[in-house]
Amino acid sequence: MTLIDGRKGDLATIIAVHNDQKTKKRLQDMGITKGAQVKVMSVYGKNAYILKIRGSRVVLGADVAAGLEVELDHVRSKGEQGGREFIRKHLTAKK
Amino acid sequence: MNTIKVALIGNPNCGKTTLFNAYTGAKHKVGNWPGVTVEKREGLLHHDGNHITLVDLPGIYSISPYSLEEKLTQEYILNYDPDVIVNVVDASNLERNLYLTAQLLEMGKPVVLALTMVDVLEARRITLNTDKLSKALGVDVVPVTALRNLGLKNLLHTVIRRSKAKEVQEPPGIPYGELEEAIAQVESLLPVQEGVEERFRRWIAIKLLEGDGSILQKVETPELKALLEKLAASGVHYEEELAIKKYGHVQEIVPQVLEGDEGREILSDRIDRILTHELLGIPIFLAMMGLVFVFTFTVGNHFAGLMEGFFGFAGSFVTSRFGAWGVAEWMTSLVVDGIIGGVGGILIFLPNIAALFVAMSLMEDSGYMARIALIMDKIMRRFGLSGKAFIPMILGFGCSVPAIMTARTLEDERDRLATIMVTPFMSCSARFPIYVLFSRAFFPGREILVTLTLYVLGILVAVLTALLFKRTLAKGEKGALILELPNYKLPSWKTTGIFVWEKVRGYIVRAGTIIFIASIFLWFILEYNFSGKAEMSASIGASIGKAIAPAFSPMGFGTWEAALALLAGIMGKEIVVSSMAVIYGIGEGSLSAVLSQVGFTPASAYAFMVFALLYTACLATLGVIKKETNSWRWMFFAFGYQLGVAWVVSALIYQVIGLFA
Ligand SMILES: Nc1nc2c(ncn2[C@@H]2O[C@H](COP(=O)(O)OP(=O)(O)OP(=O)(O)O)[C@@H](O)[C@H]2O)c(=O)[nH]1
Repeated sequence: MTLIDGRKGDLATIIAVHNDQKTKKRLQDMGITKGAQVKVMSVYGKNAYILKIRGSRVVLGADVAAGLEVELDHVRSKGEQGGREFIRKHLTAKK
Repeated sequence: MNTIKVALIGNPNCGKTTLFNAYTGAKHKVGNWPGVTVEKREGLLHHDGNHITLVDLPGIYSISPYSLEEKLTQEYILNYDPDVIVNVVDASNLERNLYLTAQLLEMGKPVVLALTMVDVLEARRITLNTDKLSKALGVDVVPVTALRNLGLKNLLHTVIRRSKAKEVQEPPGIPYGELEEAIAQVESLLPVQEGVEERFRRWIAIKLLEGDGSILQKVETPELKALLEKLAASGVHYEEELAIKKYGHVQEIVPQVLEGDEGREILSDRIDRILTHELLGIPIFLAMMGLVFVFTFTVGNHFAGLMEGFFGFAGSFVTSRFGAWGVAEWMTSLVVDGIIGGVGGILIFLPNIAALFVAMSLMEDSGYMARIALIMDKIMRRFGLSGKAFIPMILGFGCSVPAIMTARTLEDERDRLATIMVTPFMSCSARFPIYVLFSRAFFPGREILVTLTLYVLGILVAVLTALLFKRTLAKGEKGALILELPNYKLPSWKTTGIFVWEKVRGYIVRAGTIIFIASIFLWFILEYNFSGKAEMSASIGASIGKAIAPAFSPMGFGTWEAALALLAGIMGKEIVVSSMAVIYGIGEGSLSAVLSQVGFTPASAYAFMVFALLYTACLATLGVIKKETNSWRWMFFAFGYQLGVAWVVSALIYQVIGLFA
C-alpha cells in the first residue's frame, strides 16, 4: 500500500520512495527515507498527511504521499479507525 | 590581529538567528516557522582580544545545491572558508538535525555543536548527555539558551579554542558499508588540484556520488565522468543509499544520548488535534484573523484618538505662537500644513500599526504560521498554488517587502514568481490609514465592516491573479507540499518586543524622513508655480494633478487633489494620506470632515479606497520585486498589471454602485 491509504494512528515503515528526484531529496531532508518508521498523526481534508517522523512533525500533500510505499507495522484494530470512518459508520448505522 | 570567521549553520527554525542576535545585539527577525531567515547576515564581536565575524545563514536541511538557501550555504562554506562552523542543533529534534551535522562533519571543516531548545527537552523530562554526544560525534558540544543568555560565553570560548587548535579535527567517519567500494573508486580518480586536498577527497567523492553537479564541474575529468556514469547505471541509487546510511549512523547515536520517554504525546500534538482539526481548522483560522483585525482596529484606534488630539493641539499651538512671534506666514503654513499636517497625519496611525504587528508576531512566534500553510493548502491548490504560498501572503498584511522575500522558501520557481506577483495585493499596513480616513468620513459607524471588505477584496484579487498566472505565464506543476510543523511555544516577550519595536521605529523613521520630505516637497509645489507664489489651484502641484485627473473620472474622483495624492503615494502608500493632509490642510478641522466638502461621495470614496488598495505597490516593493525576480521585465509587468487591475476594478465598482444608487 502507499501512504495515501494511511489512516490516523497508523504506524508504518517506508519500503520504497517512488517520487521524482527532487521531491525525493526533499523527503530525505525531512528524514523520510526507505526503512524509516512513520506515524500518521492525522489526515487533514484527505489531501494532507501529518506525520511523525524521527521525532519531528511533517506534513505531506496527497500527491507526495502517493509515492511512498509503506507497510503497516500492525494490524488495524477497530479502535484505530480514522475519525472519518468512525463517523461514517455510526451515522449510516443510525439511518 | 586576525579575525576568526564563524558561520552559524543549522536546520530552519533551530534558533540560529536568536543566537546571532544574542551575540551581536542585532535585532533580526526571529519567528517560529521554517524559513524566516532568507539572507546571509554578518555581525562583529570582540572577546578576550579576539575579533570574530559571525555569519548567520539561512536554515538548511542538508548540504546540497538544490534550493536557493542550500546553494548560498554550500557556496559560503566552500568559497569563504569559515574558520569554525557552529552547527546549531535543535535538541528537541535531534535525529533530523544530526543528519545535517553528519554532512557538515564529512566536509572536514572544524565544527562546534551548539545545542538549542534544551529547555524544551527538559520540559518533556528528557535528558541529553552532551558528553556522550560529543564523544560519538568527535566534536565539542555546548548547550545554549540564547533567549536567556545561558551558555553563550562557553560557546564562544570553545569556538576560539577550536579556531586556534593546531590539530585537525577528525571525527569518526560514517560507515557506508557496501557503498565504500564505490566511494573509494571515485576518490581514486579525483584529480590532484587546489581544493582537493587529502582531507576533502572523501567528501568530494561522496558529493559526486550524490550527483552534485556544481562540484563535478570543478573536478571533472573524462575518466571520472565515465566512472560516475557507470555507477549511475548500475541500478544502485547512490543518493538515496548514502542518505539512508547517514540516517542510520545518526539513529545509532540518538538513543545513546537521550534518556527519558520519547514516545509520550507532547503538548504540540495535542494542540494540533484542535488547531489542525479537519472541521475546526478553517473556522479557527478565520476567527483568529478576525480577532487580529478587530484588535488592530479597536485597540489601535483607542490610542490613535489621543495622538490625533495631540497633533491637532500641536497645530493650533504652533499657529498661535508663531502668530505671536510674528513669524512669516509662509513659515507657519509650512510647519503647520506641511510638516505637522503631513507627518502628524501619518503618525496618528502608529498605534494601529503597532497593534497589527503585535498580532502578527504572536502568530509567527507561537508556531501557528506553519499550520496556516497546512490549513490553506487545499484552498490554495484550487488557485494553482501550494499552501506555503499563503505564508508570504499573510505576511503581506504587514509589509510587502519582507513578505516577498519570504517567497524564497517556495521550492518551485513558478510558484515563487506567482507568489511574488500576488503578494502586493494583500493589504499592507501602509494602506490602513487610507481606509480609516475615508471610512470614518463616509461610513461612520461602519468603519470596521467597510475596511474588512477591502481586505477581502485584496485577497480575492490576489487569488484570482494567482489563478490567471498559473494558467498562463507561470504554468506548471503545483509544488509538492512538504512542510515541517514546528513545536508550539509560548511567544517570547523579547522576540515580540524586538519585532514590534523594529516595525514601530521603522514607521517613525519613515514619517521623519520620506514622509517629512514628501510633505515639504508637496507643500512647496502647492504653494508655488514657475512664476512664484501662487494660489493652490494654479500651483505646479495642481497642474500635475490636473494632467492625470481625467484618468480617474470613471471612478468618480477625477479631481486634481486625489490624482496628486495617488501619484505621491507611489513612494509609499501612507503618503496618500499625508499628501491629502497637506493638500486640504487639517488646520480647519479634521481631514475626514474636509473630504466630503471636496467632491467625494460615499461611492467615489469607496472606489478611491479600492484603487488605493490595488494600484502600483510602493517603490520599495517594486525594488524588491526587481531584486527577487532578478528582472526588470517582471518589475515593469507588476507595475503595469497592478495599475491596470486597480483601474478596472475600481471603475467597475464605482459604476455598479452608480447603477443601484
Ligand atoms: N524554547 C526555546 N526556544 C528557542 C530557543 N532558541 C530559539 N528559540 C525559538 O525558536 C524559534 C526559531 O528561532 P530562530 O532564531 O528564528 O531560528 P532560525 O534558525 O534563525 O530559523 P530560520 O530563520 O527559519 O532559519 C523562535 O520562536 C525562537 O524564539 C531556545 O533555546 N529555547
